[in-house]
Amino acid sequence: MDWHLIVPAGALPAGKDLSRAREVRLRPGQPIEALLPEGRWRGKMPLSPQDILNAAQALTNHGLAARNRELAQGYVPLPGGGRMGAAGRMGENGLLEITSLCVRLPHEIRDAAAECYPVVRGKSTLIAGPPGSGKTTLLRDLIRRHGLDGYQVGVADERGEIAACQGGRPQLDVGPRCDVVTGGDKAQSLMMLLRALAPQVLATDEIGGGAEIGVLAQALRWGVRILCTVHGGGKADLRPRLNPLLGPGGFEKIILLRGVGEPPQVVGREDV
Amino acid sequence: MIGALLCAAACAGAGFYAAERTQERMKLLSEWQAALERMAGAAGQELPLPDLLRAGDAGRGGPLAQAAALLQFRPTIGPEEWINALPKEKLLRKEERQALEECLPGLWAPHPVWQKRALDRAAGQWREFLRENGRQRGRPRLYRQLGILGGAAMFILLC
Repeated sequence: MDWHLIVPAGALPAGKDLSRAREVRLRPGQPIEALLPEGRWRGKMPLSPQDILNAAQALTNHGLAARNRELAQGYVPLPGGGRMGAAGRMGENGLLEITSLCVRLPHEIRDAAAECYPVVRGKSTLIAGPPGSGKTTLLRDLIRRHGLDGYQVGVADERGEIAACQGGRPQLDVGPRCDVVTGGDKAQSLMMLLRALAPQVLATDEIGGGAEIGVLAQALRWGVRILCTVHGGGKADLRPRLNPLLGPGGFEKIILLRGVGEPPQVVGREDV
Repeated sequence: MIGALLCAAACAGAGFYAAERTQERMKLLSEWQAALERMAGAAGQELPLPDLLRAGDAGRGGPLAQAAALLQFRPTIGPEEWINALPKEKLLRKEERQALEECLPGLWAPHPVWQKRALDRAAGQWREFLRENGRQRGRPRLYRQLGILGGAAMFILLC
């Protein structure tokens, strides 16, 4: 994604490369802000509301109105992976005005899970951490490594951030034995994978809803290992939300991440 | 005699040319009206902007198809730059061009309801333009007759 073609000239200094950005934020009256591996970066030129609308149109190939419903529900998946979220004035049927954009971009770190994979290999694992801590990056590498080790992996990629499938092919490396269901309801995708593709490992991002927890619990009962991420800080914080998955027969390992950094910083590996 | 003939032919030609231009203008106004209504109808289908423009163009390869191509060729273009890059239609009057230019940025709106509102408004204005123009329906014939009569008068006078 070439941000020089998306934001107006001057908003991004010539030669400034945002291709490694994990997050880009556009706000009216404020300069462009990006989260790069080396830290946060802010431009100098403030953006106008029209600049933000133009950027949103460019990011969606001028399909913003057509995708307004998706946007109002949270985000629009972007070609090549990533997602665009927006804030603005809500009407009855969607966003009437867009005032801010937040573009989250997936990125690969192939060895993100090198250290923890030997410990969690073949075990149901939960990756917990705050937003931007690299949960999805770690999950992707775990999926890839399980595939390389011969496990059949089914991935419910609701937001298109794990595999970033485009034209039927994952744009990010999820290994040689991975079946991906992109978009759609997470619980439905997980059930479809479970019934139709006989995975040995089932993976999904950002669990939290009751329906998907039920399907994951069922997968565990069927002997399928699960790899999941969740927003949260620790076991005590997670228990009220994920109780059915944290008891006996549930997750065997929890990986705790912290901060915003690259590669993901593992602060703890706990047995459940 | 030859000079008189030439003057007469020029006068008649001018009348026919004016009649032709008036007819073309009427056709153009009707086409824009139809295109705006097609787009207003398609706006509810939540199409991406290039597809919405193509729906308005209906395969004619006209200015709306060019506008759609321009968007695909330069996806980061903004509405003002986009309008400036479109070919100017000389047969349209200032207020007609203005109505189109006011409508097109409305297509940039993030919500299909706003797109439809902009298109409905432009289609309403366009109906007015067509009504006004409908009163001039007899003009092409009048221009032709005036051209012929003027040419004949010139010929008689010069001879």
